[in-house]
Amino acid sequence: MADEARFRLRIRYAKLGRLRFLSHLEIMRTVMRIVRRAGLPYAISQGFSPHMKAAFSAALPVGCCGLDEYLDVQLTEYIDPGEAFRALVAAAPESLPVLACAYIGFEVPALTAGYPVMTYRCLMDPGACDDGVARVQGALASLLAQGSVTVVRKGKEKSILLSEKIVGTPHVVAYADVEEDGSGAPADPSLVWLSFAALVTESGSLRADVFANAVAAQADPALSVRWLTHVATFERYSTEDECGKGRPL
Amino acid sequence: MSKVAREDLWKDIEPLVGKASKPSRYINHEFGATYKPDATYRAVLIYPDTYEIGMANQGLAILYHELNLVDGVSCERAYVPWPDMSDLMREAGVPLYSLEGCAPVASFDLVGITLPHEQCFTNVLEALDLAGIPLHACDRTDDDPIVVGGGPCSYNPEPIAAFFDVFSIGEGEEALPEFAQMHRRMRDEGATREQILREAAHLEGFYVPSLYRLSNGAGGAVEPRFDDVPACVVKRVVRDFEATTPLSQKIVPYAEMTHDRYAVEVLRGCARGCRFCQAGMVYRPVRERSADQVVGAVVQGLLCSGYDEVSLTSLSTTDHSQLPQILRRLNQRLEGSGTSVSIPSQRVDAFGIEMAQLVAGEKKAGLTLAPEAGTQRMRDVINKGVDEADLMNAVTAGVDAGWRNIKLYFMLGLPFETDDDLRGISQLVERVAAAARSVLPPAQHNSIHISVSCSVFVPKPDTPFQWCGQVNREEVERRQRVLRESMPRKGVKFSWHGADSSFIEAAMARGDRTLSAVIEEAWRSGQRFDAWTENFSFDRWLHAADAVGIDLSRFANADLPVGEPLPWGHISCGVSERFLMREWQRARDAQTTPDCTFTTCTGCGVCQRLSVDNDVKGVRRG
Repeated sequence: MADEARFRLRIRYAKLGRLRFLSHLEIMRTVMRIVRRAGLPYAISQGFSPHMKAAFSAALPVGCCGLDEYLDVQLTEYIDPGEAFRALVAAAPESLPVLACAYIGFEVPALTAGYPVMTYRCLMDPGACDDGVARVQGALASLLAQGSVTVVRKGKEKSILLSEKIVGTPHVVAYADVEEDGSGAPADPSLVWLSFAALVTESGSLRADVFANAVAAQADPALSVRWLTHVATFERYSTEDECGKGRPL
Repeated sequence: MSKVAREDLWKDIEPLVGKASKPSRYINHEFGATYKPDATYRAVLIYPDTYEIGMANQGLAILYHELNLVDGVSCERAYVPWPDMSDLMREAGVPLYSLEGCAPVASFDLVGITLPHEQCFTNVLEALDLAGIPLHACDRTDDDPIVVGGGPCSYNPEPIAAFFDVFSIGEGEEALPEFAQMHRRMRDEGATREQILREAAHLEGFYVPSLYRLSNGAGGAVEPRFDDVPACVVKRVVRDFEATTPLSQKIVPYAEMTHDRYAVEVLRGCARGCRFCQAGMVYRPVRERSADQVVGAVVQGLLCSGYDEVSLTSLSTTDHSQLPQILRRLNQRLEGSGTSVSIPSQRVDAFGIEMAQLVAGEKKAGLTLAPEAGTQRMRDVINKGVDEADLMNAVTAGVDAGWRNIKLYFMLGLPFETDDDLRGISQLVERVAAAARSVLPPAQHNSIHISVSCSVFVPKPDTPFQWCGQVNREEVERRQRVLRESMPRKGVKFSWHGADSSFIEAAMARGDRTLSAVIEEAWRSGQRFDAWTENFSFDRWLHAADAVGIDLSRFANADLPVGEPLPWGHISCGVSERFLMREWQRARDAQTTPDCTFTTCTGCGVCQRLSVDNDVKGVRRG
């Protein structure tokens, strides 16, 4: 007999290092097992195939680390958040740490719908050249001028408008200006960071790795994408001060 | 001391992982893995197939757990990379590595490779080659690890004996830590490889192939070269099974497994005595875990692992004397928790209405029943003590309890089989379908799906049919045709195993030392992952046998004279040859032999030879 779900616990976790090779499905299963190992009294859906009532934030592509990932799980009982947090931390593997958890009201929007802005950072290898930053900037400018990216979906080529899926202004950041974030990115000062923000919409999103690869392909010879990290999730983006606003937790 | 340095190869592996299919096979750092970087003696256990297949193997999970318990000993894991990854590794010069520490497999003291079935032999060579360990045991030096084999194929290890230093026969949970401790002690004393292996031969249950040679004119049989080496190596058995932990499964993989669940081994051994079944002979005696231990382990296992499904595993779980009680208690404890309990397959005659309702929770996989033969006469020949009334009862009880998918397993090519017996399979399937439908109103008849799988009988060592040659390939194909043509179509899906791969399996199962050259030649010509149909190439095997000048049908199809020495005669599972000979006679007369856990001793010899007893918790009802 599944009890009424009375509490909604939002959990924040990270996907680091070698776990970037896991698919979203593998991540979801792993996180749900963390919840079970923590012994949390999760609510179960009714019906033929009962499963944990849980909702995840947007999927990351394989190869992408994540510093700001979320899961909303419904509990049937109130557990002290500090206790819940400790239990989750103990149940999590090293490269998938649980960072925070808190109860949220049922009126708080669901993760993908309510927090559609995802900021990313990718490390580009400019290759042998005098000014790596300039090369990457050039490639970026070239793609932005083009205004769209072509992807192949279900065997058909489809053009995605950057103006619809990218918010704010993607820009290049010097290697030295980005702090160590624990994701495991290579320590190589010749590499250049590219920062951008993408939107998760009902009609789909532009995958972060697709965008990064599209920028890389603009240069000749092409740049190579060495690392990709999802940095943060936001409710909305403010183009005035070029930053995201409203975090899930 | 080893010539290959122990180092963390992750920085070299990482660039390759991103290019390989299913990267989660190669990344390690799973929850529950044990890493003891300060250990002074290091073992690595290899399952000769992919990660996702190997992680389901309970034997290795148990050994991993037991070895890691020993002070100063560490045990890590390795699997065979899929060809795309191993190609990348060879190109980049990255050797086979362990998961926990990313250390080269060749840097370990002990390399243990389990042998679950004959189709894994080429993968054993692939693993050794990727590791950079000399394929032939005779070419290894003091700097190379000791390579130990174990698992079901070690009951006839001769075809791959050339590639192993030692075999651990039988249950390894006590044996392998003993071996490790002996090896560590001798290694620290500066002993040579030869001295260590000689000492291994003195440990109970260990076979050292280099200390034996082919007997003259004795058809592949093998004899000791020295007096201090046993003429017959008898398997190890764990007498106090309940004292072993039911919670040996510790690691939770990230990757999707063939079965994503927590496995609890509820009993070991089976005394039904089905005459084709090697496992039923070699895992005796029968030892059950108590209901208390099982229930506790299930609850604990779910909590420690985070899985939502538990499987109660064994050779024949529905034979457990306390299973109804176990299931009742578990259904109560786990109600509303969103978890479920499954049983690998249901023994036809133990599966009645009560069982159907108790296992009602788990219907996703289908109701699995294995009548094996289509006529009562054949079932008596193979001693599968199941009659048609039992089968129909199981089917109707299952459908009544909600099952709609029924899987039936059969075998063809059994001794004394006739075409009438083959058509008997089809007729039986027809009656099963009718019985299943009879439980439901006509409108729902189409919801019943029956899948029939028919494999080719492979005679195995240590069974009453071990002297029997496999039916030749052309005849197998003819019999498959007879079956195909008579099989009902409506609601029935029929699949059958290839005669070709079964032929190779049969040759390897009853082969002798001369086959190692064939296995090596097959691997050199590109064979690996033989268990995967897309990789199995019958032509390559035939060419390999040709190149070496061996006729595989001599091993696969020839009948062996009863009473003559056998290539596996020097390895004993405890069952006496006289018992097997008697059972062979009884098969000829279609006489059945009862299960000693239900009645009294049937004289197989295990309890006497090994000083053990069956350990059944309740009363088994026949």
